[in-house]
Amino acid sequence: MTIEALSNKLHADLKLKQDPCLIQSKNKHFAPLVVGEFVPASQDFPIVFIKEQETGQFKSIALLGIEPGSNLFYSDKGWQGNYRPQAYSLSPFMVSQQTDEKDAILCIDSQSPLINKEQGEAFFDENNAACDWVSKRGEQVVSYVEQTQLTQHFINVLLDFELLAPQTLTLKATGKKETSLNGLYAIDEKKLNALSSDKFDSLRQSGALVAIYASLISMQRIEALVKASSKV
Amino acid sequence: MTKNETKQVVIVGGGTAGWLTAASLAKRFNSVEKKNIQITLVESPDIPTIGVGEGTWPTMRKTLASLGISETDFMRQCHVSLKQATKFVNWKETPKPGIDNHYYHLFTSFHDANDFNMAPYWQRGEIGQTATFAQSVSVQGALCDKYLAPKSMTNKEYEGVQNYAYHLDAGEFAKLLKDHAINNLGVKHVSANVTEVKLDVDGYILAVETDTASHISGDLFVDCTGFRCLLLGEALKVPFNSVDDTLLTDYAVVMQVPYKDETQDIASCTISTAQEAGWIWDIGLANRRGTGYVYSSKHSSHERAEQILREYVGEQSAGLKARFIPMNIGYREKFWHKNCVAIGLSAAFIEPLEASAIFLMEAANNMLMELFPRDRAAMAMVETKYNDSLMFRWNKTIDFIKMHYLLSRRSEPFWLDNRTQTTLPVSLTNLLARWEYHPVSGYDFDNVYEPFPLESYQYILYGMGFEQDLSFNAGQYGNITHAQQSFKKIQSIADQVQHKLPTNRQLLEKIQQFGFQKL
Repeated sequence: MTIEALSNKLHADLKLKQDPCLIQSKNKHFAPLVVGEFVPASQDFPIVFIKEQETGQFKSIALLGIEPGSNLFYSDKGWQGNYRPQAYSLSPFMVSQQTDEKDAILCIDSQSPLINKEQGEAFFDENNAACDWVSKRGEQVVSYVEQTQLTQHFINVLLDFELLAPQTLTLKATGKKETSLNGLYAIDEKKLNALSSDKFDSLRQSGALVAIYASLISMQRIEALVKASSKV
Repeated sequence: MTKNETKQVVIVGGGTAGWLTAASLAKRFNSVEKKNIQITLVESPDIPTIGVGEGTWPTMRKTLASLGISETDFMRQCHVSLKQATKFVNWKETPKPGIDNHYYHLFTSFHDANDFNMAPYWQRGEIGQTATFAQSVSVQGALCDKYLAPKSMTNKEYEGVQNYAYHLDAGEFAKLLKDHAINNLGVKHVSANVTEVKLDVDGYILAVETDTASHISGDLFVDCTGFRCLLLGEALKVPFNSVDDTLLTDYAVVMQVPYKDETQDIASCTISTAQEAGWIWDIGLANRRGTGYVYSSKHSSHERAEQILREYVGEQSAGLKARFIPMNIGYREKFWHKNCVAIGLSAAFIEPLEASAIFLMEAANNMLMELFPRDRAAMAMVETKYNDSLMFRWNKTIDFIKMHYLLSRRSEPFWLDNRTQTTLPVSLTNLLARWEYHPVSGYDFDNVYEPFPLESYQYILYGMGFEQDLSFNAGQYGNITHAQQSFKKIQSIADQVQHKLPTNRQLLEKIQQFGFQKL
């Protein structure tokens, strides 16, 4: 990965290819999710929580497969889900925010296979100004970063209210060995129902309830994952 | 309601012992509610605590968790680092110039020796011909060698990949316990000097008089006044039994050493290095090292002792102050007498070789809480039980520590004196005589409350090069395949786990920033 600030000097002649299969998600068995994605993502993927290896901090993810390295939604023919997780769909854009500066700088991973000189849409127009679609993508990335902070806040609330519980998924796909996925955490419905009215109300007011229920409902997608994995 | 029901507990003395006892009792008895047993702690504003005990046993994790203290808070406030072993350097024999010898006493063994004992297979050369005993039965020595932590950030509070204990700043630890006891657990705190201990006609303590807070009465008194032993010793006249005929050290010279810089490795084990007239502890906290030379003043001058400590610490000792602490090694004839229990240094003190001080406080607390007598009539029986059990544990601890000296082949006068027959407890020599021809067995430890597990004895015996002949009844060691498979498994786990664990320093830095999760 080579991160460069997007500039008309460096990148004037470059184009971005379409990304029908979410190339960045290849061999990834999960996608990080921000809380605003929970509702649309819940139609396709189980939404669970895992700990960041280095820091032990929780993050929310969509399970894309039931074995490390296997993404059941990835295909050369195109993405196999309805929802496209932003963690991959925003690629190759990202923002860099310097602590002493107000504005975020839009960057790209210039090593991305989506970037080339022949195919796709140019980043800059004939006047060497960034195209409209680029600005739009930039706004999406900025909004995603803001959502990341909201998500951290959401997770902290779940932890404060002790709504997460460790969950080991023992899965058996037809014709395959039983596998277990460890290190997953899910929202505990019983604990949610046992919350005091005050606490429950505070979840409603902060808008967390819809994400909580989306995550609970999304657990139904596990079976679909297991079925899909037995076809691989 | 019976007369003299035990409702009010008065603890005299702060420090680790006082506050740990106060917090434990108050938590267990739910003293926040006034109708329950109440705990008052009287602490002198003028007497400093000794504050040297800096190593714990893994039992401390359960103790802290049951007190409702977050491991993250504890580690941040008390400059804690994680400990997974003690490394004994040059205990086996006097080092040849430039060539140290060492062995590990580890907290985790791959198999519980009561289920499958790998020791005879190692001892008979079936496994680990070129590996030490510790390397053959545990991965933990490999982790210590590389300064790795026994857990990673993804482990929740109090959970480890390997078993572990703590190195801590004793002064900060007492403060943490004090705040928690007062603010969260309902312990009443009185800052005053005790001026008089009032007894009734039966010799029970009625109350203590103080200089600024007047009179504090109670039904049960806990003496945590350190070496002074104000209640049990001075007031109730329970005599002190010295064990200086068995354990010969009687002084410590201590020094706190800063790290060279913020990249210096932090050991994940206590390092104990034998010297001409004793041994040096080296405990790496998150923010500094604590070192101390425990020695026999009959075998070393104080000047020489300080010089040895300074040589050990090296150039970093320049400009650092050394503090001398006289040690009264021994214990009270009884720890519980009438309505008074001594916990901590007031009860007993032996050299800190196996970090037994805090560990035996926890044991004393657990027993006091569990057997807590309803009234005076119930006290005498508890007194006997308590005294018998703790006396057993202290004696076993003394034997265990003595075993380290007895097995050494060091040749200085201090070490030779340590091996003379008159200094050896019969209970210890009996066990060693048996172990010359038999493996260490679970039946050698038939008390539920043995302070040290079977594995601890194995690590010391084999680490020290204890000579054992297991040719008798060797037919029973027929499960060679299982032993060899286990040995291989341990070596492969050791390889894998090394790449997954952070160094002790990396982990401590991350705890500052993120903290462990509660689940």
